[in-house]
Amino acid sequence: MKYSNKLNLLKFFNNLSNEKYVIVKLNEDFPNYYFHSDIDIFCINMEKFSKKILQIGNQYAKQNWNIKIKSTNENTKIDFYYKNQEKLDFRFDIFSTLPKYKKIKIKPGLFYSIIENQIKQNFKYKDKEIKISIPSEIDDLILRYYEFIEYYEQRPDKIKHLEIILKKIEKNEKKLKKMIEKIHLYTKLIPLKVPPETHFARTIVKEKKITETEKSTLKKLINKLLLK
Amino acid sequence: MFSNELTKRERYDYFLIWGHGLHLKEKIIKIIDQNKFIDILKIIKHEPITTQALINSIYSYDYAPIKHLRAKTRYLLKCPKKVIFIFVKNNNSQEFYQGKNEFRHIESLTIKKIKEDIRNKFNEYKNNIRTENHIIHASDNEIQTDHILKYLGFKEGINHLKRKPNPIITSPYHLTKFNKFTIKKINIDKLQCSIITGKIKKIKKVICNIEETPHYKALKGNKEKYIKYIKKYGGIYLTDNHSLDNFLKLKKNFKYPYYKNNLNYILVKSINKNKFLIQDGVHRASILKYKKINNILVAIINS
Repeated sequence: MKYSNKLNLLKFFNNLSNEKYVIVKLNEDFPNYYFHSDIDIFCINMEKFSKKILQIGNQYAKQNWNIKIKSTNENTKIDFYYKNQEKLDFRFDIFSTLPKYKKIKIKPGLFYSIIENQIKQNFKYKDKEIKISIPSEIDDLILRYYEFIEYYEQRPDKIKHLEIILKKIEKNEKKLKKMIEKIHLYTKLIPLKVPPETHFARTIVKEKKITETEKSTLKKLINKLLLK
Repeated sequence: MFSNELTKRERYDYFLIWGHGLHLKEKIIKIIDQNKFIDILKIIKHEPITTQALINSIYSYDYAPIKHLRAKTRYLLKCPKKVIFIFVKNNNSQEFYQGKNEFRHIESLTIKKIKEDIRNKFNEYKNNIRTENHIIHASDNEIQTDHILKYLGFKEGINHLKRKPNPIITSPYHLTKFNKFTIKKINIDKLQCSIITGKIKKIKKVICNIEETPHYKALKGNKEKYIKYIKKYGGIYLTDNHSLDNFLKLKKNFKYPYYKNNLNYILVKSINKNKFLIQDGVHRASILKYKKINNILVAIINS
């Protein structure tokens, strides 16, 4: 497959050097990108971060690119469409909190821990070096693990995350221990829903509402018993 | 014990120009506008049913009992039954405790300074002594601002001013909330403006090209038309802080769309494939047209 590379991604990140962010699951090909691809970004100040993306985006809009923005309190998607084409060229998917997973419950503190423990990767841009923030190796593995757990049933290709994890921790027990410790610290298990009519299912006896006549009969019966 | 340290806090306040000070409106607004901590958000002309009812409402959240204030406010009953409210964002409230015992209350030093400055300049003087027939009143705290907004019919109270229609781009509080928008380069002639015409009690909104607006005409030399337009509808249908001075200042320091760390796109809605109606930004569009910039970036509100 051929790269799109119509946007210079390093130009955007050069403008973001003062921001606290990490690019999650950064592709090995970065800053190259394929048509219709995206990058996920965790950041502290989504409003400021998005504005800085749009500041550079304006230069592309002036060259007839269309930029579509969809924002909620937790997430902003900034989509770049090349010169009035209808198919998406590239998306910045910006999060101000962890994405919501259905299968696992993650403590919100992990989001900030990932940003605080970021490491830098150097890239060359216009004869100078710029630093891109990415999660530490352990945090990267944890995020890949969550991604695998959450989606592998619907998207078997997510097995790639598990393969990466195994490759990195296979012969490194220290790393494995660190990863498990952090997962334990930040993950909660969601109680499993037990399918009804299986041998795991339990019947909960609900208290039945008593009618007034039943109540008086019961009273009589109790009185009788007490008198005896 | 209360501490008397000044606290820096963002809050919303209001000023009120009483009837006998309305002829000084422009000068008073200018003084308020010049304070670096204050952003004027909304200007509203108001005609109360009775002045007494307005006074009661204004002072119902005051710290002194109304009977103490009656003597102080008696002069207001003789003033014209018209007032102007100026709602502001106070970016540095410098709050402090004022008064003693049961009258002790929080005030903003920023607001107090502006208020006293205006009173010193424009209150009536007798024998070289400033009278206490104040031409301006101001809020002590946000509760009073909230109360007055509700009195004027804004059910949300202070939340009306705090509204942010979109979290990313600059958009005035009076627009409906929107989550989706597209930044696109369009030809400036595709923009349409909504302009008010007609009598105050029976206005019409007319859709027209930029060249037909009083805004554009003012830049072309016909300033009278713009001044008349603002004077006629300002404070009633146009509640932003518009004036010829502010417009010319905007033109002088004009940068578009990125200005003072904000993305100030002209906000539009699509009428059809080739026309877009401006929701916010007729002044900016007029300046761009005046500067003969044919293709401009706009933010098209999708929903």
